[in-house]
Amino acid sequence: MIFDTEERAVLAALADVIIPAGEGFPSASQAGVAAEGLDQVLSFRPDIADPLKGLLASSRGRPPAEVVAELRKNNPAGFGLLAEIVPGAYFLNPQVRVRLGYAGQGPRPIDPRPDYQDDGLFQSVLDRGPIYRATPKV
Amino acid sequence: MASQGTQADPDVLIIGAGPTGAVAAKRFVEAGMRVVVLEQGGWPDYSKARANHPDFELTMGRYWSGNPNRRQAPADYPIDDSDSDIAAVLYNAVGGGTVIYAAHWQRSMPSDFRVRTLDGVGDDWPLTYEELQPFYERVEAEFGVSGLAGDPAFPPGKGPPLPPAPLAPMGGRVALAHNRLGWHWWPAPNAIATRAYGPLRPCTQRAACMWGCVEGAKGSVDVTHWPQNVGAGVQLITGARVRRLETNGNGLVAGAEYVDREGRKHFQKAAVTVLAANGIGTPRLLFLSASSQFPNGLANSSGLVGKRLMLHPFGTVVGLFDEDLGSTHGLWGQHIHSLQFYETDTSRGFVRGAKWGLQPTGGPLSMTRGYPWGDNPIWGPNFHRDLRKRLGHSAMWGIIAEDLPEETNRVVLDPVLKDADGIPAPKLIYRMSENSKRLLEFHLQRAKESLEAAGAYQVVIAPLIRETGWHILGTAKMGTDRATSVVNPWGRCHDVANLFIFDGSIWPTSSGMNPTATIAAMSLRCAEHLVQNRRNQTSPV
Repeated sequence: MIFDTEERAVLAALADVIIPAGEGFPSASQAGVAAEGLDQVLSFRPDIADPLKGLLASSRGRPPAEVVAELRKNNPAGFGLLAEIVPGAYFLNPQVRVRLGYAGQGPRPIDPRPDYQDDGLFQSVLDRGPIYRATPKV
Repeated sequence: MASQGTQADPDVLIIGAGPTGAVAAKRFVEAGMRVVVLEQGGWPDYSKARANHPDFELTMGRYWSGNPNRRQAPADYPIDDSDSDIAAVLYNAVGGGTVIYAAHWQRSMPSDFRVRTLDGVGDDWPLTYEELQPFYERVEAEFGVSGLAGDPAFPPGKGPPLPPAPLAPMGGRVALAHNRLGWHWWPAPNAIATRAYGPLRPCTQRAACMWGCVEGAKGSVDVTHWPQNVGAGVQLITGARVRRLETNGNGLVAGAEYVDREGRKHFQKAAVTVLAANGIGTPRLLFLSASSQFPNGLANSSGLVGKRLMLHPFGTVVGLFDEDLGSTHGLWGQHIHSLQFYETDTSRGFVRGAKWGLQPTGGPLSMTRGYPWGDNPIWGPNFHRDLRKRLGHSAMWGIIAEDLPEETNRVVLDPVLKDADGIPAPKLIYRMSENSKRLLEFHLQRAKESLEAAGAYQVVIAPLIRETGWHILGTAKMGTDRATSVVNPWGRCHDVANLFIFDGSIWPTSSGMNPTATIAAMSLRCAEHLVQNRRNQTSPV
């Protein structure tokens, strides 16, 4: 599904209300959320294209902060859509991920060293004794 | 007119290829029995597991969603949950619920089998912890469970075959705090391989256990059982949705009528039939199999089929820490568990208890979602600050609250809703009891104290969400009295001598534990009994 320039401009404005620039991070629009970010999200989630088009159409020409506030208050489903698409696209941006120090859910093999033995941690539990109720004798 | 099935006449027909069916089929085929299994789903498609791709968090909820009403896969049937406080979560595929479970592997405690005797509510089970213990040990070997023997919350005995997952920084902090408080904790048991084990590879802590394990480290039965079962001779027929069980003039089950994915009807004969279709699918099928001989549904002379539905209300409490806990990763899964408040203390204003499991919180998109964070104002000017406060710096207690059986909570056939094959769909009628509400509130507050004691500078109690009905129990009660139960202590229906139910439907009470360990152990115990007594079995042929 094609999103035209005007639709992307509306999305960019709404997205910057949700994720503005700050603390060394770009805003949503600066990170390409309404450009290649949206295209990426839609390639993974084509199911959200139709509802997004509707939401953008109803937001056109209105102050973006007002739209976001109203969605949060009166339209949880609509806000939920934005709250999925905007950060979803934002966190696909490689520069944002580098800045966050987040490289994805890559592998972290388990250290075989048994850390439950550190500092007598689990011995303390054993020392407190059983905490279950035994099966009653008939 | 249904066509006659072409499969060889089996000794046993199993309906459902989840954990119950997997464990039973393994035992039956080991005993030399001919086994046919009908499963409405197909094999899970792990090419859709995305934990090693950037879009993981965006796409995790589609193919791997546990809510069939949201997932709407061809194998799914709709569930009317409009009259239920909790929506059902299940998976229709080879592997069943284990495909999407978090693999928290919790045995029940001895008191869970004696609820009436000890606490004056619910019912006792017609067996004890001690009777089930050897079956727990056997299925733990089958599932590749990791953990540590000696947990003082359980009687002494053999532990699981694999060493426990690390406490990780989050577990270490909370363990230390619990030691100061004098509260229980223990390295958590998981059906997740910490080392290579049979078909399982070692876990790599991607925190993706519920959304397609890309490593093949999770003990889901599509990995641990079904390939081996099929190799041993079990005939597993996928895409086979059973629409009714047919009975003969003697009141015995003659076989199952099912529909394949092309809409063709088949009939599978069976000497013995075992239902392993979960706490919704099993009563649904018994209702669908009503006849003039069984007008209220098959095996339902007690009137209890579908009733006493228990769903385990679920709570979550998240702590924010200054230190980097590395909690984007870990087991999802649990690193430690606590059973400090599991046993009844009537001074709390309720009976029974809950189990807590400590787990990571995931990647950045998970830091922005309403669950578990609630309506927290992350959006706007503070976005980047709040995101970095959460990402990798948060840990989460998941709380499984025991639900007591009530006949008003039930599964019925929906009068209108049908699945894609025109078969009436199930409807849930479920309200959280006052006891469950008080229990959960108490545990949420104690879990908050736990995380504060561990150094959390802020604790968020997550909003209760509806899509947490993973544990579907109690809808075909087990007991010795045919007037007050559906099956006997070995899963055999009181009313139909060659029909058995092995799944979680038969639980008299729900415990406050994740149920797969007990579901699997009970399936093995019931299967073992059937094998040993098969020469005495009544069958229609």
